[in-house]
Amino acid sequence: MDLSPETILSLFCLTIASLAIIPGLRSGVDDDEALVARCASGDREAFNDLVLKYQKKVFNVAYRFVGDQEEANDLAQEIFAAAYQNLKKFRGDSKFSTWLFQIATNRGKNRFKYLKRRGFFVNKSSQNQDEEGEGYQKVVPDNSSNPENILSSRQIQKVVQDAIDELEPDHKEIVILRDIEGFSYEEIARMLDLPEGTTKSRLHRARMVIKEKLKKVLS
Amino acid sequence: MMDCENVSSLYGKIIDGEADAADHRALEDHLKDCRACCEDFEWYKLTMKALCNLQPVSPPSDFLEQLNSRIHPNRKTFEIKSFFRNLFDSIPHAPAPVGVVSLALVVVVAFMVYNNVPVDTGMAVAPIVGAKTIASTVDSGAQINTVSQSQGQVSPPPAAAPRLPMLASNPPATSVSTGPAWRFPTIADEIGGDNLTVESPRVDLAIESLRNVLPNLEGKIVDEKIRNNVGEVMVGVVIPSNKYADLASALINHGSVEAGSLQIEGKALVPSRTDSNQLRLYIRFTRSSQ
Repeated sequence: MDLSPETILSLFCLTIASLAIIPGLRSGVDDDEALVARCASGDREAFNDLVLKYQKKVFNVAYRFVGDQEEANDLAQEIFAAAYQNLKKFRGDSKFSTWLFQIATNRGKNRFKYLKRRGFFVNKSSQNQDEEGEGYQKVVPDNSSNPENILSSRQIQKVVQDAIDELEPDHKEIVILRDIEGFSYEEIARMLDLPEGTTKSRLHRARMVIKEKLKKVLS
Repeated sequence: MMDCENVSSLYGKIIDGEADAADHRALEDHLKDCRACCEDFEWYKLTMKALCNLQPVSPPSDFLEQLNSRIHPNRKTFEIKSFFRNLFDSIPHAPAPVGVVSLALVVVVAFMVYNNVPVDTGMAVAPIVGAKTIASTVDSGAQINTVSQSQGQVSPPPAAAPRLPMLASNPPATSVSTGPAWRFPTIADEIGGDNLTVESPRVDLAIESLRNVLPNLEGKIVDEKIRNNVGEVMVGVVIPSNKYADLASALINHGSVEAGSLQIEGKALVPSRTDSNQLRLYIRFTRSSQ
């Protein structure tokens, strides 16, 4: 078979293009999978890559559970340490991120219960009120301002976090995963091992509780 | 028309975008006539916005370092171990040659350094022989040379240089040049060049001779240092000043040196340190080359 120079050039270009594209597609699909496999075989750099990828989100989840920077740091480290120690048990049935946030939720809930038993949130609340003097009395939204600005103000942020702190653990985890971290109902149901209907109904109740608290403080 | 409780259950579906047209219509119909639910729905939407607007909290900049020190408390040790463990796979394209060549290089360098060290292993394996045998193996070219320390001047060699077969000066420059380029510092380097050096194929026997003759000279041993790595023994002795010449003679008479070649000129033998009428000097015993 005679091949013209144009045909050879076209084949060459196609080969180069496929070499460039295929690894990209592959890495997009199972990026975590490859890292997890390397990590399970003892590659610590791979685990570092996973940490760098998820640390912000995990830390944020941890913070929403405990509402304190220092506690959140400790909790987030505990979550990653637990993931590292149990990585060999990860079978790949679900996505790594789902598995990781399942650990995060369990650990976060346990830490929240532990801190609540020790009166951590009561002490924190009274301490904050002492520091801010008039507490929430000043937290009245100014209707003349932009609503987005009002909601992103430090005081409103604190009101919302306090409302989350007061939720029952079962409600709290769903609000954090759905409304703050944006996981789908399907992912949340898998993480918490709950039916989707239960997940939705719990979320609705949790939102109504927070709404009532905000209404009480902001009205 | 739906009651207020049922309508509130639609809030989530509406916000999440999961409500169908019927749900939308039912909510709108209810809100038209129920001011309380209308207000409640506004609060619900505000709550959702507030939750979505929560500012993300960032971990500390050294989060990864903290985590690694928590997971691997002995990371430093591990890194050293892992260096050797990964020696063969640190360069994936040429794993074995790099590791083998590195190890071979280390062995060769260590061997070269070891060979440059003038270790006297002969002391330990030297055959036990009699005095006559030793005398016959002594280098007749060995000589004794002393330097006046008290005056700080080098005394010129006497006209008839005292040539003691067993007592030799510290190695002259010419003999150093024939040896290895680098050597460990010797005791003679430490105590200075104005003391005696005794070369003998049997250092242990020579020292024993010294021990035997010292009582007869009213002298005693005050110091002894052994440096096995360079095959030297340094002995510090104190004798009466006027017995210095007798010391070498006595050593020779004891059988450690060849008596026939003994010529000692007392004036040439200046002690390294005097204390009234006592002489303190160091004698360096070193194994002579056969």
